[in-house]
Amino acid sequence: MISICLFQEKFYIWNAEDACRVREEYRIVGSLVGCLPRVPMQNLQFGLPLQLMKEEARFLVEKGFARVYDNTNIPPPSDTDKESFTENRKRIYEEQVEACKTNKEEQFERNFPRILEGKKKKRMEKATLMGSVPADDSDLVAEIEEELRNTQLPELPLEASSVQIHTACFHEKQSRMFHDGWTISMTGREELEYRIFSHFWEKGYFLTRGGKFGGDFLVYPGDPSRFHSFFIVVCLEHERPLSAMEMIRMGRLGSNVKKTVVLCSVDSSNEVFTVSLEWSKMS
Amino acid sequence: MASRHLSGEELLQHIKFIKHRPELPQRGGFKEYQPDGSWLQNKRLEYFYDERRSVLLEERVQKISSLAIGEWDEKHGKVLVKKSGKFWKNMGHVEDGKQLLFPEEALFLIDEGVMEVYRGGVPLSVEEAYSVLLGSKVPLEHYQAFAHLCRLGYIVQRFEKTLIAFERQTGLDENSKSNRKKSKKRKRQTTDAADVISKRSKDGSVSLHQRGDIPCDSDAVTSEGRVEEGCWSVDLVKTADSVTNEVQVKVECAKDTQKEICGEMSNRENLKSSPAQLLWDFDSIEFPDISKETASEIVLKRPPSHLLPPGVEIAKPFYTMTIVRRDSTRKHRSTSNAVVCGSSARNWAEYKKMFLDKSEMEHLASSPAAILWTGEVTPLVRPSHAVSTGAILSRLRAFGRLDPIHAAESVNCEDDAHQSQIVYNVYLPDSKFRKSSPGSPSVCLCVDRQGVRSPSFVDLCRSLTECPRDSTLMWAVVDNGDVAFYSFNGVDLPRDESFP
Repeated sequence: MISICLFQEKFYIWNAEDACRVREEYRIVGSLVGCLPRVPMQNLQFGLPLQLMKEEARFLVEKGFARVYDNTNIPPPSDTDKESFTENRKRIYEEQVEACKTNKEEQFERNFPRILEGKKKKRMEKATLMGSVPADDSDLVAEIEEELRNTQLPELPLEASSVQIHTACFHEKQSRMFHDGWTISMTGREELEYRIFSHFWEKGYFLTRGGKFGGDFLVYPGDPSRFHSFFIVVCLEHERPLSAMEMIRMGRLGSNVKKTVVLCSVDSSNEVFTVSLEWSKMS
Repeated sequence: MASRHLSGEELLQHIKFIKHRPELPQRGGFKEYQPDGSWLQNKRLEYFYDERRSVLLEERVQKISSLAIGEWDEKHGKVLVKKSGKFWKNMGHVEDGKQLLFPEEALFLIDEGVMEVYRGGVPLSVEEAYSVLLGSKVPLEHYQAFAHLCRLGYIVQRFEKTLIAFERQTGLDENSKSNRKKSKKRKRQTTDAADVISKRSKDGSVSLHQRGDIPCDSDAVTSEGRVEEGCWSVDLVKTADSVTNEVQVKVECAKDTQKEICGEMSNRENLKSSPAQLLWDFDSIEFPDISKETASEIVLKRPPSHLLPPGVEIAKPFYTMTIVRRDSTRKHRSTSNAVVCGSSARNWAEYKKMFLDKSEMEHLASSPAAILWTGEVTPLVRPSHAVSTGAILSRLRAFGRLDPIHAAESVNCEDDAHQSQIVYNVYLPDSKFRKSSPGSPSVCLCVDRQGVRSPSFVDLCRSLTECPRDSTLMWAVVDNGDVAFYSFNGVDLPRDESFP
């Protein structure tokens, strides 16, 4: 079950696996809103959390794919949390020291012949300068070898070790306040949008918000990363009169961006009614 | 779902990986038209999903030496900086000798991966930081707009309303800022408002200063000696009605400059008495009421000795004075003009205008086109107006020229729940930026959710008065994590030069 976090009336997914599953298996796109850890200072690509539309969250809950937990009041860490944190920090430091040491040792082994050569040369030069006869080669080699192996490799200081800033909550034992059987309340307008969202989802499309194109949703035939959207969906109340100016405005917009504007509403018999605007000429 | 714990080796590997400046993950390359179920398409999609998964699974890793440390202060809603970093140049403020960060600033630093904020001895994860730091005080949209701009390198600070409508309209804002910095040296200029105060003041306050001495910049309007906190608005209200509103408004904003004024007051030569004697309690000082119609004499009591100049003594405890009233019904020597205009004109300008109108009407009545001027509906334009095209056009104008800055004051202030407020000051990325004197922001930003109705003209005018002269007013509209910026720019349409 996917866990959805509720905070300030918005829905987030903090777990990376869930964020991937929700797109791959359930055709829910959402939008990433956090900094991308590898390159934080740019606005082209974002990282976790994945923010879901109200419609998407409600849809996942109603279909039984996800549960919602409330993050409004997170209690302060308990003593066990503090202990486990300190232990964890100690552990990763020790692991890093070990790993560093192994690395250095491996490096040493690899470079040993070169280091040996270098040291030998220096010694020879020193000896010839002083005029003394160089000692037997193998003795010299053994001497240098022992010297090198006895030098202590410096240990990784704490300051140079790394720590992790966790993305999602890492308290293992923390019980999340899951709301089971909880429905998300919606206004009339939001209900309408939800109906239309489900209507298009059932047909196999992917949907995202359409604010950038002057509509409510954008409808994609496949994953938004691979395909352009086909439709700009505008949700309207069934009885609402539509002026000619509005029709022209939407029609122009659609034709300029090469997408079809689809006007959707829910009629009196609770059926979703859709009509698309098309530019036609009479000639 | 708990977050992954990276092992020591993974941490070291990650540090090495970051050091080599990884590229941004591919955004899916060129797009296809529609799904055709081909193997190639599916392969591409799979590749995209795999890359996305591995990028999202990456965690924030930082060396302890380059990690800043902070602690969450629940009571004040701010983060106390224990170990600072490069960010201190552009973010944060000092209070009581402590380095503090606002919640959105700290959250951004955690998100960026350069800071750890501790709460109860354990550092906050990004998820917890969202809930704990933002809480219910800082809306998510504000944070998202803030982070969006910070990531681009802009310097974003919280907006504090320091300008008021009056300052902006009269252009005082250009001076008031520089005055706030220089507390000892105050520029003294006179404006009409302050002169009016000194003329119309009923309190004995004018005697304390020479007229030209009154510092007339907005935050030092004091025409009398009260320097206690918040008291001065009360006394200044007693001045003439038409000035009241402006004066009250001016005074309210200057609480932080009271100390400066105190210092200044004590420096003045004509107030060589101690501060205690500056406090004139006008409630206990009696002033005779000479407005009563029926009174023929008034009684003046001897004032307390501390109010008298040194060396002056008053013998009698009280004096009576008779009031000679001018008979208001006495007839004036008047011309027929005065009879027509005098009764309804409130001031000389109006009287003059009425007089000129009357003479013009007499002239028109004798012209051949006199018939136009009889009756209720008369032409808008008169022959005397035919001075220039502009003069005629100004007569035909249906709406006055609108200046948004002045429009704001003529609108009733209704508390509207959706009224856009300026939230942030945005400064351009600049190595010369100093927190102590940031200067004017290049953009004043309001933040709204998508779906909230767009700002009305009234909102726009009101927000413009709060925005300094050389800043642009912009709106950030957040649509489910997507931030878009909009602004309303004034456009100067070409018009007739003679048209005022």
